[in-house]
Amino acid sequence: MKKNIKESRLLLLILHQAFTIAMAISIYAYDYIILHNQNRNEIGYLIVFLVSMLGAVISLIMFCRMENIIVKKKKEKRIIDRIYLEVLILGCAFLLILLADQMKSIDIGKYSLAGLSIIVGTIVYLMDIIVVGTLSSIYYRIVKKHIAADSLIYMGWRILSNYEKGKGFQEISKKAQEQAKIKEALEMIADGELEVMLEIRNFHGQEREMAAAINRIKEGLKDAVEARTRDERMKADLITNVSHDIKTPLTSIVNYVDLLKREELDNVNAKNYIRIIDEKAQRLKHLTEDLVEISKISSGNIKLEKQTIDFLELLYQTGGEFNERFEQRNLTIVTKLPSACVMIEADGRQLYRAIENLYTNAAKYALENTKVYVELAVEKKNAIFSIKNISKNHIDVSRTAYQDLTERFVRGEASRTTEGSGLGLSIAKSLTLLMGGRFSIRLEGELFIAEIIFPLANSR
Amino acid sequence: MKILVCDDDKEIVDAIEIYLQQEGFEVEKAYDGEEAVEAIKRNDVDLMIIDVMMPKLDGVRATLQIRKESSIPIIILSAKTEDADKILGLNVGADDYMTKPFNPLELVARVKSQLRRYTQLSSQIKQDENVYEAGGLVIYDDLKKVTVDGEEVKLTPIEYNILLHLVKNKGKVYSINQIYESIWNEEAIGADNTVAVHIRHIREKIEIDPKEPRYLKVVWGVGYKIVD
Repeated sequence: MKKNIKESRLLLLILHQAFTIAMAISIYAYDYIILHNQNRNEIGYLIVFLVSMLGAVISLIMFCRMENIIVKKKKEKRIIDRIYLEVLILGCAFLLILLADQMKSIDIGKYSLAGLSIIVGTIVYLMDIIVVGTLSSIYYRIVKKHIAADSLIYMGWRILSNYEKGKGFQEISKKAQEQAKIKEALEMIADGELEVMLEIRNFHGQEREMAAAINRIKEGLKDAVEARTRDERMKADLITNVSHDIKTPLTSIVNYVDLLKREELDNVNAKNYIRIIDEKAQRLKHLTEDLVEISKISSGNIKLEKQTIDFLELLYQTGGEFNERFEQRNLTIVTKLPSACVMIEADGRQLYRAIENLYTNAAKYALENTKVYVELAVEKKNAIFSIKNISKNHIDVSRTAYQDLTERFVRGEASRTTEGSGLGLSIAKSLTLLMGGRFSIRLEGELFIAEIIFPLANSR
Repeated sequence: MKILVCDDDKEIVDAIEIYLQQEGFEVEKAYDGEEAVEAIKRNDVDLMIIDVMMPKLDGVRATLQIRKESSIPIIILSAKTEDADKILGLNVGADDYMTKPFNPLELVARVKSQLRRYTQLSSQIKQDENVYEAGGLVIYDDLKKVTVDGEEVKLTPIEYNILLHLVKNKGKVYSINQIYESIWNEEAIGADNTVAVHIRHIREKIEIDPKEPRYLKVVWGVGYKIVD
């Protein structure tokens, strides 16, 4: 099979050269007729010329096809390459003649157009043989991998092939091949894909060292990620267990405080003390619940049930849950919502919990008698939900960057007197990220803005 | 009525005893699963409240054993709040699941609700044409009356209509717009919170814990539905 290809290549090459010679001869003949024959019957010779030219082109294309089979490169591209090459050679020939004329070694004026064509044809033919021959030999050497990756010829190839954006030539050199593998592995690792493993014995020299180093980096990274996941899980388990242990005595505290409240107590102070214990016990209860929640979410220990839901419906539902809590603090909700459904992919229950935390946050920390702005917008295939309120306590941005507010236990106020665990924003953020949404908070003057962005579900 | 309370924490058992006695129940006490199983065999118990994490025999295993012989209502009371724990508890035969720390009044309400359902089961409601039910929730459309576990609930006309619509189409999820259109009989232009607020009010009236509804479920981002 291989031998066949080789033979037919040779045949085609000879054919090509034969047609080119025929073309040159026909030009000579044409010139002769013009000079010596008064009848000037040119058409027959023109046909000979055209046929030989056509033959040359066809044999050239055939030759290119053969090369394609060997180099496995896209046929069209190689043909276009060859056409470029021929045009280049032709251009060079003309330049050469012009140069010669300029240097007075020949006088173009003396020649007829046909004579010039003869000269051009000859030069083209010679150059063609040289270039095609050289290229063929380079091809052969590259195919056989008899070429060094840092040689000029190879670099030339690289520039050419990069220019075409073809990867064919990268595959040709072993070194380049190995480098490509290393690059691919690096990209996969960068994308967080830690299951790649480079086979060391397939690499040589510097590449082998690099491959080994990459393997070590990957192992290290994998260990670190695994250790982190394990730690997070252990932490989550620890928090869950500890909170179970806290809940049992807490249950008794809550119950007996309640019983104590029912006792007839005359002492005003005692009643006040009980009220305080009651409040703090309730807060402790919320804190333990939130703590379990956040550790569960951040360790990925939560099962999502994603489905296509209507963000708008969810906001109306949430609004129904919260209207009285806002009214109690004299907060006016100003809504700006679209009129049609806003479908997204999310776990409705978890998204509600995220939104609920933001509403609770607003209900708790907004300045009384102010407005709370709730907005849902559709932009560039994204659903953007935002809630804005004026914080009753001044949020000191210099003390802590406000992004820290989503960190566990950080609150806008320095003191920790208000009820709440300080976990609300953190829970909202973790849940949103877990479902593939984006979460951000920022300050614009007095306005505290929380934003949740989800890509729209494929609208079909 | 005799109620068995089982928890390895003595103070919790005592506190529950006080609350239940105030409501006129008789209380039997046990401090681990084995004692609970024994107590059920010895006494004529009407309902059991049992903790999960206990020495000797845990609450889940105890429930499994008791279910082999008895069909009394069982309420699990546990510090475990995971959905998986709740599902496990309900699957082995418990009728209700409460998490610690609990609101004592809610516990009493749940005990009463379980007992009413248990006693009512024997005296089936006669099947009138205009009676709709979902679990312990019954709507007598002729009388415009709603009961939950036998106890009457007062609803406003709109609340009643919404609930009736949902109960008639039990299990089906209705969006806010759909509910609006079928109750108000007009097209919903630019919906608002109205329906959602009514739904919350209904939940507060018919559910023991409106945040964890048994009957009127919120399907977030989709709508509302009634389940058994």
